[in-house]
Amino acid sequence: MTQATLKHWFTKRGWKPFAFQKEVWRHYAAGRQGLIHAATGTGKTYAAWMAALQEPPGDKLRVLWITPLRALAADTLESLRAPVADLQLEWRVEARTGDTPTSIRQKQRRNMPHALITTPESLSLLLSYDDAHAMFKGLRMVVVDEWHEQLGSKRGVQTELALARLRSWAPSMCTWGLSATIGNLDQALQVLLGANGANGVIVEGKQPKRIQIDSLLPTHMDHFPWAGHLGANLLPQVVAELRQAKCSLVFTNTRSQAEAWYQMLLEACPDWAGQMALHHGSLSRETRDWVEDNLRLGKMRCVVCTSSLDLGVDFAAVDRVLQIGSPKGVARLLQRAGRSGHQPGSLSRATCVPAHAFELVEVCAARESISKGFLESRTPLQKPIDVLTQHMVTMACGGGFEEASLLQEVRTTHTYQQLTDDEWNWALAFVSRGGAALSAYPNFNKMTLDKDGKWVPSDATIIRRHRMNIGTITADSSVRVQYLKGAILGHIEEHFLASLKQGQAFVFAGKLLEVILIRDMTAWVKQTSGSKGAVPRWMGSRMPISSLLSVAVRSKLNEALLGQYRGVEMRAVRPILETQRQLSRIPAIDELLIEKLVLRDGYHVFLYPFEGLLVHEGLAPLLAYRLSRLLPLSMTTTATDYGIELVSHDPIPIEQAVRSGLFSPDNLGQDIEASVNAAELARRQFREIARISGLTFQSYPGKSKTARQLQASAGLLYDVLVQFDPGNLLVTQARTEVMETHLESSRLRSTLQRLSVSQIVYVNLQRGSPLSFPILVDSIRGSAVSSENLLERVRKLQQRMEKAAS
Amino acid sequence: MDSGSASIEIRGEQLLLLPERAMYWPAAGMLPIADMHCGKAATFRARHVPIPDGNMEADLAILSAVLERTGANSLAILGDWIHAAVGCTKDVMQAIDKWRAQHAQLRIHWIHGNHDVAPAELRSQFSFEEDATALDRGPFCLQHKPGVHQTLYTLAGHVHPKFAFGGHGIPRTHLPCFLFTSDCGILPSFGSFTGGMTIKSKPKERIFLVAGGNVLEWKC
Repeated sequence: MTQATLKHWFTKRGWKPFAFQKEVWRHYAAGRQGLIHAATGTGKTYAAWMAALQEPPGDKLRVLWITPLRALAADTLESLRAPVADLQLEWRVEARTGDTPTSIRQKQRRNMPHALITTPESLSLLLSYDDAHAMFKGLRMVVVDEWHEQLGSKRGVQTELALARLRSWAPSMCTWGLSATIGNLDQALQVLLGANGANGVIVEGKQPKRIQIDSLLPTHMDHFPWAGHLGANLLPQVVAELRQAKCSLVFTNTRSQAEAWYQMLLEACPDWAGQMALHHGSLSRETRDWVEDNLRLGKMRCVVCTSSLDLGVDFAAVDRVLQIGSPKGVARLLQRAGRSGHQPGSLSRATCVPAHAFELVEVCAARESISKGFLESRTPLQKPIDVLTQHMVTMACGGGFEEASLLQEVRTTHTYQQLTDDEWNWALAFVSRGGAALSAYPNFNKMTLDKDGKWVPSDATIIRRHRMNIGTITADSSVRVQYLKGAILGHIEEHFLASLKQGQAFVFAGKLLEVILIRDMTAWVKQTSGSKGAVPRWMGSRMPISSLLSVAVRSKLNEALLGQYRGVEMRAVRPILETQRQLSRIPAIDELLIEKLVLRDGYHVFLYPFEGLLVHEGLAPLLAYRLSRLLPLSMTTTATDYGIELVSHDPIPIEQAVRSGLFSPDNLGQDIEASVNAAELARRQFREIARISGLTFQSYPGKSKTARQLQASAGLLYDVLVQFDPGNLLVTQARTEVMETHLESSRLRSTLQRLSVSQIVYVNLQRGSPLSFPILVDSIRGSAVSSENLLERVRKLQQRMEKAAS
Repeated sequence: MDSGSASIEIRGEQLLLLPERAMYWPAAGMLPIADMHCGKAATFRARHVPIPDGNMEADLAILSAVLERTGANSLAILGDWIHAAVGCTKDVMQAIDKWRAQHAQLRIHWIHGNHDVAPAELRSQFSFEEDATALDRGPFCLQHKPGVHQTLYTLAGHVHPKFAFGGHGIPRTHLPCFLFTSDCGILPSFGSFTGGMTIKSKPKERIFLVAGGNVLEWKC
């Protein structure tokens, strides 16, 4: 196909190829590869696809299209097939995901299409067949869609490893990534191309439509809640906004919030029944598909959703986006805003609904960052051993591997370029004869060397089981929620169900439900009537405010300190900030404000580093620990996105502690280990690692007796490894992940470095300040730090409960 | 008698609940334990899951120490001494034999559990007295799975009971426990490479938590 035909196809559809698309085609024709970044719905797909279509399809698999979402595969298939059909090209385009029927998958393996759309998991699965080489050796182009979503995750690492393998089979293949705009595009390109990236280019896509970020301002600032539970008092205004729009997406930060807002909107707009829906990751696939289909068909007025709709194809009908609560990050808000306004001439608009006053400052700060082009980065992971061991077994299943050549190949990826010989040898030992402690793993034999010197699985059951468990996504231990009549509603955490009292109703999938029976990981429910039900809490839904946004918030506060209120939100929040100035102080950008308050329940100290929830959650116990070394104190701590609260029955000698190095970055690692229950956190973190490295199984085919014999929780395995093979690198990985991912220890360190040179301002409060209230309200969820042993903890809790009962 | 242990009286008999997750019945000189799961790590390795060795040896050493400290003259295994046939490797059997030789005088009653499916020729070398279903002694019926006996009080294992507590500023913790209902007592699992099932406290039931080196009754 010539460029002229191509242009003709665009013209026929009333389109015109964009300059950036033509640029990509030129690069591709010249054998270059790269990364295309732009907002969604701006033609990235055709930029890559039309480049490939300029050549004839040949007789082998030529283009591989990796998409992060199964749901996206169907839409991509449609998009890729459209020009093929219109131009009557020979190209055969198919999709292959977990949803593809077995019969079709088998047919595909015998006779691959010219272009295949797949997910990282399905690709790894293909690599585990011994004829994989023949399937992929004709590859010319691999497109990795939504690369920014995979970057920084173990799934991204899985993709990197697969790409390295494909490159070794098809050396002339080029890789193109499609990405939203992020702060570290150069790095994103490097990770995508690995050692193979000398000819990589970054192509900036068409500028998206105009973006508008605004807020719903409370009509009476006086009546504005300090820490409204959900921003629910803005419900009437939200409804008014929704009624003006034809079709809206209402984004929330957590699934619980989505359930709660759906209930409120349903009550407020009964006339929208059937045109309003709920969409989040715990709902069943069928429910989500139904919602997405109806959004596409333009039949929805309003969908309440979580990050589950951050990605994916665009819904042309959506003309309005609302964001409930803090936007948390600049890129995230931009992405969400971009989900609206795909009609010609319209703009993408996101309206933020603040849950408390200071979120207005965040919105203002986010808007300014967007206009300056400041966006968050996605940090790539550092050589996770669990993903490597899984890949090794995959390679062994897929025809076996020679040690030296696989090591070389793995080191061409960005993630494993610094992999040491020791780490490699450990991983190889782990998948062959057990851990490095040779004597500790008698009779273990998962892989053996065949006569050609290749590592292969030592029996067929290993291959079968490995294929069932390929992937890096860990499903939580969740219980299926199913009607007695049979329909499955979705999944809910076991923990939440266990907390329900008998006969207590709960809200799920937008319905009020009652549990009839829990058996075999299924909660059988029936719909019930009544007004109130418990809203489930899902774990892992805490998202911290981004580092970029928190710096922007601090500088907005600094402006306020200087009496500058720029932006409509800042003017709205002015009375509250002026109250803060009157009762306490508005912290300057180089200051740390520490407020002290004595209440009936004890001595409160508030600190405001503005570094986000995770850093504060690490910092709070660290400070409590360092304080308690100075003076034995029993303390409760609370952390929010803005600050930390310490509470004790006795006065807290905060000034003295600051003078003697409370914020010192020295001994940070040791002090963190001593202050938070790092061991318990690592034990919990091990769940995912155990799953990925094949210590525990998601599913096991056939014999249930075997499955029973292999039953052990990841926590139990962790305990055994720590005790009997402490050098196990997976144990080390769990500890590192807790430090880096959970406690963000590098961000914690830089926070301490900043605080230790900050001007510290102490204020004795007479009553709670505006800044302190959201933390006070949140402190119900606080956790105690103390050095008492288990036995005392049991006794203390008993005493407390007895007291409460009497 | 024992530091850290708790005591309970059932049907006129005193029973000691030991922090090693075993029970001692002084009047009969008997030490009941449940759910040792010998060879569990070996089972995992045989099924290609790399779990290191060492647990079973450590558990057997603890068992020896408890036998010595209590001076028990008989051991009652309330089932699941063995994890699986595939885990009865030469190493595992040798370790058990070695341990058995150190306690040659000890009477061992092995009440079968659902996991005890080792081949007969392997089992005979233990020189345990085997009971397929239950052993009646005094006011007690010792068996694997919890149940209600017409006249006797049941002592059983199988469940691996654990109790969860926490909240109110105390991190949530799971601890192995002894559980006593009006007609059945359940022992925690003795083996350290065993999981557990979280149980809830009900009225009229007594729960004893194994918290480190202590056994402590939960009163709420």
